[in-house]
Amino acid sequence: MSWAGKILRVNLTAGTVKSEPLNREWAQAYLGSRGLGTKYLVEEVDATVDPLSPENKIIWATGPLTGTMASTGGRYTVITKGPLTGAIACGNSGGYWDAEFKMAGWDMVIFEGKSEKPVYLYVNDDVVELRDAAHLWGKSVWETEAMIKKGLQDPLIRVSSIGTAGENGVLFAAVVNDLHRAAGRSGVGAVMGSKNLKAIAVRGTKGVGNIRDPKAFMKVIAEKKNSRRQRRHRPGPADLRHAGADERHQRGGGHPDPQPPRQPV
Amino acid sequence: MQKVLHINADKCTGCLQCEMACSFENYGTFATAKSRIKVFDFHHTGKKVPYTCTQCDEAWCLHACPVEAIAVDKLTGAKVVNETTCVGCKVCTIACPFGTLNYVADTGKVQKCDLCGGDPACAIACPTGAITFIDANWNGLGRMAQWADKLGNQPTAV
Repeated sequence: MSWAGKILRVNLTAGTVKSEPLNREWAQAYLGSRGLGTKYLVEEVDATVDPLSPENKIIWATGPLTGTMASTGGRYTVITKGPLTGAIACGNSGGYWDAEFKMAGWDMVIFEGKSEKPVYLYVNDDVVELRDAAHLWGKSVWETEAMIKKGLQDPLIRVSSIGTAGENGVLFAAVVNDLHRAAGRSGVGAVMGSKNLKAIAVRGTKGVGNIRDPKAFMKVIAEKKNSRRQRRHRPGPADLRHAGADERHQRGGGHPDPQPPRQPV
Repeated sequence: MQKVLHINADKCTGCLQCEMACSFENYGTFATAKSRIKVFDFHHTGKKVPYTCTQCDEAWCLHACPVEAIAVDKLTGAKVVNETTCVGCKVCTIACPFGTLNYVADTGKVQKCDLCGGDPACAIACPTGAITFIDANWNGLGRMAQWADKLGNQPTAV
């Protein structure tokens, strides 16, 4: 487990940012990412709040392997009370943002309240601040990422943001990072937009360490990598063509694949 | 046999295992920000391209260094920065035409690829074979084989 041991708590109403120690007991019991974030949400948010009200909270959570060389070490989860169903909602995404955030020395960020004006959170290792996002409001995620990188003159920043769907409260809006990776499930983008939070821009240079036995860790990673390599040619859903209506779509020209569909084996 | 890093960008998926392995080898932590190899993600074409030092024979960095902190490792042929001698003047970073030497503000020295003493962590970590460590005299062998295949390895009509 390579926890940074710190989480961020951002109060958007007051405009404050606080560092807190990670609840290790919960991290141990709920493993991280979706489980851990859900535990925090359930403990902190009243089940009856309106998902799009300031009383709701929204959490970006990484896991114990995020930012390491371990397989699946490149994912994060956005957890909140969802606007579509009124139940616990979580979207998860891959890409580079998650590892960058962990490498900045943080395991999780919790947003509370609602900002008066559009803002975005800027994280550069220990420097964490809310910044004005008036110029970014109304822009797509592509434009937002480009503008943040250009504005801060740092091409190595990673951005997780919403586009106009999230801003306008579209109930299935996604949170998108690294231009085309989406935490697309259950409308977490709408909650982000309801808080006037446009983006989280991260630059992490500290790295992920804190591994108790690095040698054993690397050995397991190498073993798993090799076993996956050997498994590659086992028949999977693609060989068996059991992917639902996929084959009919392909026959009808619904896929950009120029090859004719393979016959079932 | 002298060996070199060989990069086949067509095989790169942008997973950053090489960057993680590089920083882990040299700093004991997974920090892509400290990696000596960098993967560039060209969104508009979908291409990912790893890039690092090619270990020039006539190394500009080596000649430019005013305190002779960069030397050739006789075993691997790598141009290696001696951190005790380096004064952090960054002249080598200006001299290098490829940008593969970079200043590290934390230490006040420059860093570059040193081939990990002959067993590069990036090549070991790469899951797709985009980065390989091969015979320096035959770094075109893979491509030659491809063309040879095209030229002569077809079924012959009898």
